[in-house]
Amino acid sequence: MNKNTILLAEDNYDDEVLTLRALKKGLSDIDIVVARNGIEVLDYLCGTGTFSGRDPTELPKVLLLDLKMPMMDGLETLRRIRATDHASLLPVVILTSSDERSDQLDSYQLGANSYVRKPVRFDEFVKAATNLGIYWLEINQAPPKRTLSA
Amino acid sequence: MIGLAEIVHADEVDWRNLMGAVPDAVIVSNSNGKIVYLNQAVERFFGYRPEELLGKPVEILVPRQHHEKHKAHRADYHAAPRRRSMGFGSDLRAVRADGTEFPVAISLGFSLTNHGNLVIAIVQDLSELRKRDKSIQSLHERAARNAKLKEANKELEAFSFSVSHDLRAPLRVVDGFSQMLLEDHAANLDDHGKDCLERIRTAAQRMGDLIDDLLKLARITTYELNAVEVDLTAMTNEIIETLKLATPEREVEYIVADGMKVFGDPGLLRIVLENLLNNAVKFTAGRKPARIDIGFHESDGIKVFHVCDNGAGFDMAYSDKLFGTFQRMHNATEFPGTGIGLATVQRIVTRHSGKVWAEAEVDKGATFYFALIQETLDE
Repeated sequence: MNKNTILLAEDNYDDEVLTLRALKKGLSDIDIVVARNGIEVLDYLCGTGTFSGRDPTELPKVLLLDLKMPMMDGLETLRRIRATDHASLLPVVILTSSDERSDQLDSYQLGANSYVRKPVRFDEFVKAATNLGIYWLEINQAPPKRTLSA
Repeated sequence: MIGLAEIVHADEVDWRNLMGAVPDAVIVSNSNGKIVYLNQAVERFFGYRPEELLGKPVEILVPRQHHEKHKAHRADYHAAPRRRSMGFGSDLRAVRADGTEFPVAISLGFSLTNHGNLVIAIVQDLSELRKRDKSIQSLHERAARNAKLKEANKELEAFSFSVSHDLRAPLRVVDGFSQMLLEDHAANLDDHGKDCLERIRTAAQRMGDLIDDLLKLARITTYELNAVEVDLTAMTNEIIETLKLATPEREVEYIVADGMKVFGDPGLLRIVLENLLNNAVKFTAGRKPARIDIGFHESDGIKVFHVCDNGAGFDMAYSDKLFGTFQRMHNATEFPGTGIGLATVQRIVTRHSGKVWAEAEVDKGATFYFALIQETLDE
């Protein structure tokens, strides 16, 4: 697994194209895995379902999590990630259209590490995505891997 | 059987005293519908002297529009008399000497006497009761209104949630893919094609701004006011510093009065000042020197604040539209804007039980006034 892996949870294909483009514009050598909803996110992180057989101890550098997704939304996904043993410390950035106070509060209360509102202007979105990528892939120190004995 | 008339004659004093003690109006009429007896309460209820009523048809006490119906009912009653309460529907009304009406309840009895069939009507004045009912009803209504308002607020929150999530996302796609076309397919696009795409992008971005401003406006309605003493002078100076940074190319002379203090919500009042100052800066573009004066005066003990500029002004003939949502006084190329700023200002001032108004003249400038009339807030 590429050590610069970003897990992107995004249900909308157009938004996925835009986000991938924005992220790749500012960053080379990144690996972006796309999950369509919360269930796929958890499957990826736990090596179950569509991602069965994947090594769950190999965690992405960061999860970019959309709030509004079908089946399992972002907040519920975040709650479940924080309840796991191996991925509870995974850096999670909420990446959403919403600037509702309640969404921001709920996200932080459930342990989001960051909350970013996607700008309408694509050039601003590119700037935000580039900054996010640089910060979480290059500047931020990921939480240390948990060993079985820990 | 002894008839009513006999008793009246037998011991008139006792009878009068007794009937005078009855709290309700007692009216006796004969088979022709003429009043033959009334007690003291009738005078009190209806405002007639007894001699004005005796011998008159009972309809004199009935609102004119019911006269015919009453006569017919009276004939029916004499044909088949029985004790009962009277009612043309539940809202029975009587009319006073001065023509005013009041709600009543009437019970009817009858007695066959030497003078024929006499009808006795007991009339109860329901004015006070109705008033009590009404105040109870208005309490109920207020509770129901509050519940509805809460529901509406909840719906509004759900609505703005949906607006912020669902309306912005497609705009990002419009802008993003237009940009992608410009970047990836520029070789296949002539200048007209590129211009079209730029226009699409501009419109998408403008709609994004509109949505954001509308959301802000909607939130002011549901925002919980937190009133404290606010130093508007300090707040104005802070906003001016930000404005100077944002418009370094502009030369604006700001005059800020000292000691502007008011009781209100600091977050919301900042939005008021920001909007008024932004407007003043915007509409003084091209003025040399541009001059913006922020101050106050007292009128009847109420502080009236003003933001005055020497900018483009506007025609007072359209001043009623000034504070409407999406209303614009100038065309967008000259002075860009969403037309939501002043609507927001008005909503905030109204939430402070205050008033906002403007005076202006084309090309001479505009002055916006606001007063937070009550020290207590609307919550």
